[in-house]
Amino acid sequence: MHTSTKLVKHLDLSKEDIGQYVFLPGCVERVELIASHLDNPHFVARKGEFYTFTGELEGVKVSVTSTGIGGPSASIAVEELHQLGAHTMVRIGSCASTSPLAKIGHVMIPCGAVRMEGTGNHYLPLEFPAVPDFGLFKHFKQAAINSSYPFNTGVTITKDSFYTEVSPETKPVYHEITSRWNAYVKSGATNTSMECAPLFLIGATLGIRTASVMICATNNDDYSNDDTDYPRDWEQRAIEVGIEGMRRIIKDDIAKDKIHA
Amino acid sequence: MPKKMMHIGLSAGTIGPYVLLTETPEFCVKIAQYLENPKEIAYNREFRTFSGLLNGTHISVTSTGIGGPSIAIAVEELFQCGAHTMIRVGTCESTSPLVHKGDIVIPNGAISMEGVSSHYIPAEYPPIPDMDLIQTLEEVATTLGHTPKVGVTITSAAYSTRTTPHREEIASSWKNYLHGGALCCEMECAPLFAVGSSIKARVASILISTTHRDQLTTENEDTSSYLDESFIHIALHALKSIIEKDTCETN
Repeated sequence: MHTSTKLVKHLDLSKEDIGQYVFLPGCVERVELIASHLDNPHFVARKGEFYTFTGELEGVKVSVTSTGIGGPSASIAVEELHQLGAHTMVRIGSCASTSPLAKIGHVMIPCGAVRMEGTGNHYLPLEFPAVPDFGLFKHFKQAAINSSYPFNTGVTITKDSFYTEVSPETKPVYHEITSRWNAYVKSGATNTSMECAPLFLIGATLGIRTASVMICATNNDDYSNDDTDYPRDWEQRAIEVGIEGMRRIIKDDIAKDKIHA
Repeated sequence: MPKKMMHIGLSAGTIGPYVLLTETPEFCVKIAQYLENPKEIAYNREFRTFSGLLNGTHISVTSTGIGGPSIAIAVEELFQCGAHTMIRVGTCESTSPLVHKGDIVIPNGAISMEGVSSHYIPAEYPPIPDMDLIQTLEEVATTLGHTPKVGVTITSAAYSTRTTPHREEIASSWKNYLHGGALCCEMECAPLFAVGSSIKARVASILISTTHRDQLTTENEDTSSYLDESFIHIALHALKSIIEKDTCETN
């Protein structure tokens, strides 16, 4: 399967295995769902939480690599894909609502991320805002408009601890984290997820264009860790908007002579 | 019908009270081979779980993926399913002249260079494992002919920081940690210890170093070769010893 012996350590990939445009779902189960929208998708590698398929969009090689949950594993995936030549990386995932503006089934395209996490700090100081590439952001927003699905472009809270969201009252630092969380919401955050801030910050550090398209899995104040509440039936919307947006980006890059199909 | 956990895909009653935690699903499979009647009971995302018997006691092995966020989820959900003792079994890289390739390291504390712990315990509270567990781990490793090193580990949220830190402040913090005698670096211990203290689960970690100090793991080196039969043997032997001590105490 590998055409070169030079493999990156965690992802088990070589330069020839992947495209310069990559989708980054959090879970392995979503990789094949996304890849099924590509032309000629084929399995490339699987190691740990990192599962990769490659195919094409608009005649250009595009890959899908799962990152696992959280900044640490996502940062490994982003750094290694970058080493292999990828320059455009888009997260496709799910999030929970933190605002009445974000309802179950909304497509979320964050314009920025709250850095309630520990990976970003290894790259840029706290005062550096975690924001996506604006060109990519505009393409995904347009793709959402074209899809007719309701969507929201508010700030996302990137948290390292899922159970901080679900059961903060059980934590020793309950008062601190609750008041910080309330401040994020009052400042305008509409949703919460677990990988956007590190993705955006590593993008800024290494010169990678990044963005995120997520499906809102809950209504406001409706948290759950019950498997029956996982948004399996809604994630197709985020995938559709993600694919459509990526097509727009690739066509735009071709038109600007940045790549040759 | 007890609810099924959203991430690990398990419900209460399906796992043992004692769980070994691995980073990769592949290593989870490897450890499971050494149990009696091992059965895969769930595989969702990076979380793969086997259950089996160890000297007649029901135990489980669960992979947690890389990093604090996913191990915190695994520990919380396993605890909700009935696990009270969880031991991470994995690799680390040396940051000390005291730790050589192949050495066993048992952290008695972890430096939080990551974002999960502060969501559980205040910064000034030490992320530490259960002391009885680490004492048993140390005794067993010694009995089996090793010279385990007990000390502080650096838990880093970014893998590249250990070789090519992107920020001066991070580079100088790292130097300070080495100056303080940090033995090794890895990516999960501080969150594991913080969550354990918070929810009152007994947690610990036993690691094997894949490097000498100042020697980087090369890109093509297969560090999973360090997670071999002899290392698994220490972990399972220690678990047997812990279970025995628990049984004696309740009798």
